[in-house]
Amino acid sequence: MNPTYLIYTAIVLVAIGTALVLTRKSLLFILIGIELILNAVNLNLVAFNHLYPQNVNGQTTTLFIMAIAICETACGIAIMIQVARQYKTITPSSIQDLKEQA
Amino acid sequence: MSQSFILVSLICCLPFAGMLMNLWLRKYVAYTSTFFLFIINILVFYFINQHETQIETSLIWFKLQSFSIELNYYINRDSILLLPVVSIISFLVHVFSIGYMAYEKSLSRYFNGLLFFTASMLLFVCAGNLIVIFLAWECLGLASYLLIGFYREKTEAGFAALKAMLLNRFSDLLLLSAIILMFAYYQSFNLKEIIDSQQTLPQLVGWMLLLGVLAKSAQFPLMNWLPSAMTGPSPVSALIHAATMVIAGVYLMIRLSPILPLSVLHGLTTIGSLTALLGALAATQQFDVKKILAYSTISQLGLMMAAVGIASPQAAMLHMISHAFFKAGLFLGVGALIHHLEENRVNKEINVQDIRNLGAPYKSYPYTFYTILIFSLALCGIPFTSGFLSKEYLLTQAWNSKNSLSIFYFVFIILTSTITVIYTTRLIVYTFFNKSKENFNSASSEKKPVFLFPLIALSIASFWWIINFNPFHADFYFFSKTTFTTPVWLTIGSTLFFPVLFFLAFRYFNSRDISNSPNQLLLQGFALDNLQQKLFVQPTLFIGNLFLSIEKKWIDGFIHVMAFATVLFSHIISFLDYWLVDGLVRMTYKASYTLGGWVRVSRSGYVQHYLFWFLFTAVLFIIWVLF
Repeated sequence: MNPTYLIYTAIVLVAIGTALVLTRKSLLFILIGIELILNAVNLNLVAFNHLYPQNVNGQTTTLFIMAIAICETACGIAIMIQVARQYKTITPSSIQDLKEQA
Repeated sequence: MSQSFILVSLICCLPFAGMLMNLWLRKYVAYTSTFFLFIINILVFYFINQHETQIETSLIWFKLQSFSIELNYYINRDSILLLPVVSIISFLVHVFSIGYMAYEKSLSRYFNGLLFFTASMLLFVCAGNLIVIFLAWECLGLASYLLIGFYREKTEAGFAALKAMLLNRFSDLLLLSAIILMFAYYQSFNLKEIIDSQQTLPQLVGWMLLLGVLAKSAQFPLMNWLPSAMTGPSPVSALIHAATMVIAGVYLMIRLSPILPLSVLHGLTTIGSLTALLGALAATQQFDVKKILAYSTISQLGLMMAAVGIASPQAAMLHMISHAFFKAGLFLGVGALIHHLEENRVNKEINVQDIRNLGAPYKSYPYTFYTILIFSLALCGIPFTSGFLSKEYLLTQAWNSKNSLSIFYFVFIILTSTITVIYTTRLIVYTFFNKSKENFNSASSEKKPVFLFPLIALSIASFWWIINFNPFHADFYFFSKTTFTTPVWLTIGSTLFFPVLFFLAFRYFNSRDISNSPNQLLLQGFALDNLQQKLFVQPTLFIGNLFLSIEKKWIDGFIHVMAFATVLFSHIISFLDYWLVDGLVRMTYKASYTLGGWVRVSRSGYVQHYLFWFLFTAVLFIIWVLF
């Protein structure tokens, strides 16, 4: 299998993930977008492992990363719950503490 | 400190002690202290009269480098005679005041004034130093000011006090200059040293001295404060006219008479004679009882002053003493009468001091009437009174004197005495014998001992025996025996002339009503008020107004321009400050704000925007790294 397609797929995933992160109003979708970007990276690891057929480092690392990604997602959701408690919303555009108060 | 120093100091300080006690104890302290004063004075009088002829004692008051001013007393025969007189009269006036002022407020102030007056006079009599004399002199002026203006609620009392004060200040200025010049001439303030030096004063200083005592002794051009001073309470008038204040000037002249130059003596005789005549003339036209007496005092003071001028201070002294008793008596008697009449008048509008309203039946007020009669007879110089003897002495001295002006003075005494008889009779007749008036109820209330005692005491002192046992020989007990002989024709003449004149004047006034059209010039006291108003008050006011307008126009104008300029300048400064200094600061912050605004556009506050920019930069960075 030509890894080129995998790379293309990864690029598409990164693009989709980035689009999700930048455009969606809900934190849930932003988190999903981040997950997509992460999985694009995983896909890259698998794809570039084709250059070294004698080992499976890429695949193994991907498995680890996926496990950690689950933890990370849990953390993200936990943060989301805290945000929801604090601000009564999970829409980033209505949380503007970084900006000067109008 | 010698014994006599303490004794004399006691005399002067006792009234001050009385003043202090008066502040706490209030009641009766004043006259008690004057009573003690009177006793001490009598004792001093006896001791000194027995043993010494003069006391000169001193204490260093303060030092100016090597020169020291002494607080010294110089008591000679004149002072010894005056001390008991002053204290007796002061005592009687205090007693009288208890009754007279019974219904007044602020009695404490009143008695303090009287005590202060007495103290100043005693200090003046004893003082042996020109500085102390001037001090006491000024104290007298102050005391008279306070007492003349005692009725503070009356406007005219305030003006009268002010007039007395200002006229006296005018004279005092000359007196002070004379004292300073005397120091320059004698190199000493000590009275005894000055008199013992036997050097006659320079003309200029002598004349300044003469002018300096004119106001205090109410002599001709400066006499008009004395009639105005009648707005004060009657006992105060008695004290001013008899024992203190007005005799101070004569007394000072008596003390300094050994060193006065001849021209000043002539000046004294002239002014004194003139004052005597003018005062007597003015007295004949007055309607106010107390003003008649005031002008009478002026005229008698003129006689004393003139007596000093013919180099006969003894005559002046004798007349001063006899006059002190009967004039104090007259004022107290009139005061008592006023007091009784005020209680018994029909309505409140009647002015009891105006003889046109009077006509009190003398039988209702026998004590007051008879004592006033005795004092008046003494004033007229009727035989068997002290006034007769002192006038006799004056006439004799004038007749015997070698002075070129003495005949002139002699004529003036006779003229003045004649007019004195006339105005005194007028006063008596219109006050007591005018029966047509129904202004007063006949209820009598005069038997109060506080009124009677001083009057009776003074009337006893108005007879011949206080001067000599022989009622026709005017040689005073206490004078050093001189070859004194009155011409027989003079004694007989005055013995017959004055009673006959009195009788005729009595008949004349009793037979006609009081003239309602007096000579205005005499009624106004020779318009001296107007004259002084024109000569001094109006120019002073003119100068004052001139300065006022200058101040308003120029000084105030300058200040206004300065103020305007300051405000204008401040406005310019504030404008510059606002637009230059503040403007720069404002520009800086606005520039920062605007610049920041531009940068801040990208800081929208949306997390995703930041993320976008981050990614954008990261992509740019990657592109830069790769290519």
